[in-house]
Amino acid sequence: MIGADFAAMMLMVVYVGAVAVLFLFVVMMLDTDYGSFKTILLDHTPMIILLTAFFITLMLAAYFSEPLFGLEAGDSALVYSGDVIKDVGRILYTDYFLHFQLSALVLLLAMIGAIALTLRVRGGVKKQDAISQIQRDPYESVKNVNISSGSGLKDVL
Amino acid sequence: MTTLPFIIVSLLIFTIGIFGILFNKKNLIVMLMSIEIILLGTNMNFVVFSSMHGAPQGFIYSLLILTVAAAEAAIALAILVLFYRNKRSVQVDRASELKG
Repeated sequence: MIGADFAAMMLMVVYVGAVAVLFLFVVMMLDTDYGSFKTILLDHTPMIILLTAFFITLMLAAYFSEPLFGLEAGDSALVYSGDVIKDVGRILYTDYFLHFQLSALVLLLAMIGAIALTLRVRGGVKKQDAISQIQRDPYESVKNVNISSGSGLKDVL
Repeated sequence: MTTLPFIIVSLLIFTIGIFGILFNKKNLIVMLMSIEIILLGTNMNFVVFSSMHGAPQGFIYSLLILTVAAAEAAIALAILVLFYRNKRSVQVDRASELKG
């Protein structure tokens, strides 16, 4: 095993809890057809083969090559001590604190942006307006009318 | 204790995402999902190589990528909802005007 239990948990929580739910909501909300998966396989076959070969070569080269920056034990304070969460936390709150704060800012901006983009003021919605209700003057909202007998209420209303 | 299977899996996820974008020229939601899958593959790649080289910086970058992916999903889906409101569809070829 590669000792990435923390990353696995993080990925699970974020992708299931945030991203999947978000996509689920949008998929349920928008009425769209997924019918046409017309593959353009023939047009793109050379590009796909090239791309896949490129990435496979890249990964294998990265796997079999020596690390570019030396990370011998003792060289760097960032070398694992065996406790992944402890290490990540220590680095995250010291060396990478600016990145941490900036990522928080990115999340805040995303939240504000998403709300600002999708917010709309609908017309014709009946809402309670507390201030105008409180400030209403009873002497102006009720009036006494003398109605002569037999004329009905048509002229008054 | 080899990390090669993990690299292969992350590469597979990444390639699935790229194929999703290449094959699907219609639906914006599917394109967004493909982008998310690509980010997930990248994320896993960072984690695997970080673990392989014994450098926890990769974990930090994985967290940053996670943040960016979540933010990107939120913004993109908001734009998608707006687009659907205007066009009554999420087809890519309906997005043919810049202003409006």
